Amino acid sequence: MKYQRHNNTSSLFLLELILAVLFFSVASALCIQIFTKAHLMSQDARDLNFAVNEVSSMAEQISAGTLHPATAASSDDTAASSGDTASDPSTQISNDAWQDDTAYYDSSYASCEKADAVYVLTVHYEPEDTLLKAHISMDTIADNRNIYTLDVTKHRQRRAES
Amino acid sequence: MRKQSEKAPAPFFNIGASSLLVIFLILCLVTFAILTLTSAKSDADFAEKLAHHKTNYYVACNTAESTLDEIDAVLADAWQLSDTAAVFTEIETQLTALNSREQLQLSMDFTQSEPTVSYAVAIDDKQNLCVTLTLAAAPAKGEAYYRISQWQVQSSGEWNGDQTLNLMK
Repeated sequence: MKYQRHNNTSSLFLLELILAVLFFSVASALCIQIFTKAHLMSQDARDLNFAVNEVSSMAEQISAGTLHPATAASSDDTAASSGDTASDPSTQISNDAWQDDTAYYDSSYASCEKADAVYVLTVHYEPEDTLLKAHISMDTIADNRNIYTLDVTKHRQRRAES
Repeated sequence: MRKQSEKAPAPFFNIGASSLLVIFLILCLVTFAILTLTSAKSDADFAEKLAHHKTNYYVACNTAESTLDEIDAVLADAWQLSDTAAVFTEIETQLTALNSREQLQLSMDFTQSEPTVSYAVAIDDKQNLCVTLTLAAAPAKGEAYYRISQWQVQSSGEWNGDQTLNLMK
C-alpha cells in the first residue's frame, strides 16, 4: 500500500516536471524571439547612427568647400573646415574633376580596404554651372541595403571680373 | 507521539516546487526581454528622429543654397553695369522682382554702408534656417559679391514662460 502511494507521488511529480519543462521551453522560445528582435533593432540603430554621422560629415565638407575631388571620401578625417567662402577651393575646380568617390568601412565602423568592407559610402557629384550637387549614400555591401542617403547642394560663388 | 516521529522526512522537491521555480524563471525572462526590447526601441526611435532631423536640415540648406545662387546671379548681373552708383538700386529692383516671383521672403537693408540681404528657410514647424548676406560695396577683380554673415538655425516657436501646473491646493 505504502509502495503504491509512493509510486503515485513520483508519477505526479514526473508529470509536473514534464509540464514545467514544456511550459518553460515555450516561454523561452518566445523570449528568445524578443531578445533577437531587440538585438536586430539595436544593430539597425547603431548602423543608422554611424551612417548619419559619416554622411553628414561628408555633406558638411562639401558645403564648406573643403573637399577636393581627388581626396574626397578617403580624407573625411583629415580635411579641415575653414568656413571661409573667400578661399573656397570648390569654385576653382572644373566640373570634370568632380568624379564619384567611395569609402569602405568594416564591421566595427573603421575605415578599411574593399576586401574587408561591410559598409560602403558613395559620393556621386553632379556639378552644374554654379551649383555643385552631391548624392551621398551609405549602403551595406552584403545585401546592398541603403542605410542613409543625403542630397547636398553647394553654391559656388561667382567672382567679380573687373 | 511515536507514530509522528517515525514519519518520513519531506523530500527537498515537493510537488509544486518545480512549478514555482519555472514560474519565477519565466517571470525573470519576460521582464528582461521586455526591458531589452524597450531599450532597443528607444535607441531605434532616437536614431530615426536624429536622421529625420538631419535630412530636414540639409533639405533646408539645399533650398538656401539655391536661393543664394539666384541672389548671386542678380549681384553678378548688376555689377556688370558701368554706372557703379546705380548698382545697388539695380540690385534692389532685381531682388524685389525675384522675391515676388519666387516667394523667397527676402528682407533687404540698403540704408547701411554695407547693405544686407536676409532670408529664412523653414527646417520644420519649430526651426528656421536664417541666412544673412553682406553685400560687397565695391568688389575688386576676383573677389566675391557677398559674404555670408549669418547661417544659423533659429527657433521659430514663441517661448511661453507661463507653464503653471494644477497642483493640489
